[in-house]
Amino acid sequence: MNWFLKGTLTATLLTMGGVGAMAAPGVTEDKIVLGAVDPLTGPPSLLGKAHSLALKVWQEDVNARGGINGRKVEIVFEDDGYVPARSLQSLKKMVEVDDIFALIGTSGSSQLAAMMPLIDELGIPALNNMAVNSHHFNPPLETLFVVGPTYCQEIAAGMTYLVEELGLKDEKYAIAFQDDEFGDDVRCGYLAGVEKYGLDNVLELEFKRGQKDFSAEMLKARAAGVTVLVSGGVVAEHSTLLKEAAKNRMDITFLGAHSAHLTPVQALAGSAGDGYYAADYVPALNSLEVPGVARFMDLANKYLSESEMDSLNRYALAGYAGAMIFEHAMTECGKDLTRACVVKKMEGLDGFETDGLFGPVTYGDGVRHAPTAVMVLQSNAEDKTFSIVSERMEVE
Amino acid sequence: MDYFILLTVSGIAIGVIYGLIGMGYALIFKATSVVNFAHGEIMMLISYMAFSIASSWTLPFWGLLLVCVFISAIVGLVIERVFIRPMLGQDVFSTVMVTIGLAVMIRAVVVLIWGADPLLLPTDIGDSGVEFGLVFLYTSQLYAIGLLAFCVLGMWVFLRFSRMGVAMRATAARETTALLMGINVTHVYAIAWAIAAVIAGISGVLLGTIYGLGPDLWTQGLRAFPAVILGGLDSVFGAAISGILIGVLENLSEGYIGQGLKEISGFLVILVVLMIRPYGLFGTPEIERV
Repeated sequence: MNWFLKGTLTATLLTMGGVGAMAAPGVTEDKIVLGAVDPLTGPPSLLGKAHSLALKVWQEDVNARGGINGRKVEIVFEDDGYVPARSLQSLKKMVEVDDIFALIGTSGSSQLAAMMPLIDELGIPALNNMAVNSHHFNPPLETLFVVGPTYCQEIAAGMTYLVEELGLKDEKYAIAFQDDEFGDDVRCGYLAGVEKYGLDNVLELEFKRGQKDFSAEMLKARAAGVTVLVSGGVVAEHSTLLKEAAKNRMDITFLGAHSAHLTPVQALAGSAGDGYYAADYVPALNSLEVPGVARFMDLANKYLSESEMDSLNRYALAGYAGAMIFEHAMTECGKDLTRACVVKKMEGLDGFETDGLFGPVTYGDGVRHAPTAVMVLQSNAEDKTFSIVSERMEVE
Repeated sequence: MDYFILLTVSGIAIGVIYGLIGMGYALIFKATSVVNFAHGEIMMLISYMAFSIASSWTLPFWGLLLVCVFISAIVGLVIERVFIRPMLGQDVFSTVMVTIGLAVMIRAVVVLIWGADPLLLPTDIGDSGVEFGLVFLYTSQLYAIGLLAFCVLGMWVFLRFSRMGVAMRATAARETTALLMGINVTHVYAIAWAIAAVIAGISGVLLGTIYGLGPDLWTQGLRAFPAVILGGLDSVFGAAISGILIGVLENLSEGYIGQGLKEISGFLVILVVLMIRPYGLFGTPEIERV
């Protein structure tokens, strides 16, 4: 009897140990648990809500298609309120309580930076498609993949369009940028463009994030004869700059980063929000000629409520395209889904297409940043839409 | 010269908003000796309420403002009754801490109810404006100038000629004596909070119309604070005039110097002025008999 008990116990432990050794965290026979940290409250929830809704759409769709190799997808959402300390706390909770397999939403730039040591320590496959900064991939982490250009690359490409397509070489250029990481990154792209084309940089205006009144700044720009202004402000700041320019009867060409590709900018700017340019790496929600956008909007109409549809913006397209990349990598791994396999499959992506949502996505050995090609969009204030006005441009 | 005029006029346009906000701070301090750190948040709350009203009913600007004035008065009275009156008899520092707590609470409530997306306050004046030679001003900015003048005049008449105004001045001068003279001090406090909230409401509607709404709108309260210190914490008129001074100064410093001086120019002036007149430009000097 004694030997029988010992034998049974040993066999049980071996079996359990075997299963434990083989199964990846968050993966069971019929389910894959993924995590997403997004700012769902506070001012940046404009980004996070749209991103998380897109992930919900993808989750519903992929499950309706039978899941990934027979496993249903379950996404755990955590709200970090755009506070880096809360991002890390959210990730810890998702690892320890929810047992996630991978991270499919990584919040903002500083927020991801706060999570990076834990992502690296635990080897969690993660994809950042929301806020790209060079310190996310320089030096690269083994399991963290970044898709999309930096603001610096985005603005530099936008300036290429202004000079090469619109012929705005002999103009007077200026930049208004906020006093943070985002503003610095936009300035980096602006200076790259200025240097590349030898442009006349007549004014650099730094302002405090959240500033409401730009009357003095725009009068200064008018006095300097500025005809092209690159805006390194987010929603409200960008729209106020536009309004001030209109108020001062300035005939000026505006270029913003993808943060200007949002309908609230148009709404706040009113008629002054017509015609400005935004450099982005995803098309507009109304670009239904792009297959990926048409499919996403069909699915969104199917799975989201009317009020949720109102929360969609370009971050939804970025989130959905990111999910497509992750789905591909997980599908390629087959039934034997492990973190190492997903990382390997991601690394092997070479010109992966997302039906026009991103430009072709390529990673490689030690290459964790896919700075997909940028396009320029133009604002149509009256119908609150954006038109694609350029071909996709490879970034430098 | 044109550049100087343009900077000055646009400085006045933002300065009148600082002045209006500052008047609310000063009035509360004058009547209760409390610095209301929730004043910017009250302004934001009412501007969001204005948004809900304007989105639900088609009202002309003045109609919307009138409704908001009424709502603001109620908001002020409720805040005083619920949060401030229980603090009567406590030291001023405790009441100030309550206003800080109230500020945090209002910020959270605004995001909870209206969300965090930037919003446009839909009014019938929109982007319309008037051109005076080389200066263009939005209609809302012209209204702001007129409303500041109206509020200053109204406050002067109120404090100088009305029974409640005189009672408020008496309470501000010496609360105990006012009590002994039969003045209902709690009533005075409630009215002061209501009037301050009305002024906050007016500035909130104007700010929302000119710059749009966002959950960071309360920071304009902080930007207006130098005006109150410069004018003298207990001088309602001083705050109004200093608001304009600060607005103009900010614009001139940015226009001619730049380098982020706009952000600190108001505080630099305060430092200088307070060294010469510690009670502000228009404040009441404190005289201690020894």
